[in-house]
Amino acid sequence: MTLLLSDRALLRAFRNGESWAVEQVYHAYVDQVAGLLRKGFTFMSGGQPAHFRGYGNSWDLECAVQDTFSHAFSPAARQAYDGTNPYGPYLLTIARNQTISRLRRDMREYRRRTALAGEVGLEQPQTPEQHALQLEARQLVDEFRATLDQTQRRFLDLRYLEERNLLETARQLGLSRMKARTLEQKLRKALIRFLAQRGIIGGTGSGPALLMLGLLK
Amino acid sequence: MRITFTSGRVRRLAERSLVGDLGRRGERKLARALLGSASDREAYHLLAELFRTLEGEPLLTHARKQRILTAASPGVLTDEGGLLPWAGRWLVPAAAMALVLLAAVLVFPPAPQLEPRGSSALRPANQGRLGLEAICIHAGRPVAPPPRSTGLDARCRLGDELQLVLTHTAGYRHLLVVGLQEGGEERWYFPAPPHGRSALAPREVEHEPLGQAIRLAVNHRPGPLRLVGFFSRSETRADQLLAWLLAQDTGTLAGGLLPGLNAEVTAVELRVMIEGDAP
Repeated sequence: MTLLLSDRALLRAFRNGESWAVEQVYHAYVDQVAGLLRKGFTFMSGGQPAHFRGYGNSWDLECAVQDTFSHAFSPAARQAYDGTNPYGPYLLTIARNQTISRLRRDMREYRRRTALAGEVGLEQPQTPEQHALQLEARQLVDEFRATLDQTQRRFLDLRYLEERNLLETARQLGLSRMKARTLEQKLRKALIRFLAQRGIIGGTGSGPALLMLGLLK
Repeated sequence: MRITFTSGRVRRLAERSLVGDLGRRGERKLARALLGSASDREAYHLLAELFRTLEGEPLLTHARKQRILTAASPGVLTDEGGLLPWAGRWLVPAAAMALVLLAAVLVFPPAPQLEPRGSSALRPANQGRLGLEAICIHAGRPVAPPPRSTGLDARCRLGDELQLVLTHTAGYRHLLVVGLQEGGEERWYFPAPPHGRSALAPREVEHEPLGQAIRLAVNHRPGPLRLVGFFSRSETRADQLLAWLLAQDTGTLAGGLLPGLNAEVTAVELRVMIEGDAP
């Protein structure tokens, strides 16, 4: 992807910190960064090959992605980008360096390897537990979808599977953008309610949590 | 699968965060709670996995992507070095503007099909819609537009702020907005700060603010202000557009494509009256 190379106006605006340009760059690269940080990568440390196995926990991944962009969007980092090489590798280098710094602060996260198993983006095989979790999540979501009406299911397909933006999704369904946004929020809340009814989210504080979402009124 | 948080409070925060309606303060509370509890992080992870599955298993859900962007970009938006000096005095604090724009939406709900105000506030393109609106903001509240019979799109006082609002679903790539005060003195509104050329236009937007509100008391004076938005498929030079504009008689921007320019350009014009005593 050569977004900032092919569009010099965007580059200038990005360097100036204009929010629309920063947002455009973010959306163009966030999946690359998240992919690298989820899958892990190999690197050299003290002359030894080392491997970072990726963030398996959603919260850790989100924090790492945020750290990367917080650094990359700082004035110094925006100005440091030369504008002559693709921005993607520059951003991924920031992601790697941030991660390695964090790992150095916590040596327990290291997993030494005797040989490099691959280049950046090496994907680790799923553990049986992860596979079982994925299957269960898919089954639950299928059951949740079965509780929705046709419009709601179509919304999910357009928005998430076909990756349409909110405006396009709204148009396809004959809704206003505001109604589509409301529907999206409603479906997310409905998932929480479904999980609570199934006893998936349980234990502490189930009543107050649902009340906060206005679902039990 | 069983998702159990250590407290109802953390659970509420996690649920609202994944739904996407947790504010910045709540996100900070959630972060503190999760950093201090491995079991809460695991519970959050399981819940997040379900939302990810619902969305077709992307790396991050839409709501989380948006939250990360918001959290990662304040340094860009509020950093003093990130805004060029000329713009500094024009800009209204973001939080105040958010309230003002909310008020603007409430007072001026979007029309199902935009109609031109004044001379040519809206020009339908081949497909999609194109519109530029000017909203005066007085003491933090949007001012109702003047009657159509006045031929004005907005009537502001010199102490007001001016917010441009864009509707653009017509697929143009570039935009430049310039204003001409009486006597031909120009003011540049988009891109801000100006850099001599058009900039990428926000696309697929309806009634969304274009840039920050402008304090009219800075660099403006009482009298008519003619605002023109130039939409084009390719980048255009500001000096060419300005020269073309200055060569036109008032009220001649009704057509679609502008003659005499290499680029295919569509102009949208607004007429604003600024009232008050010159400082």
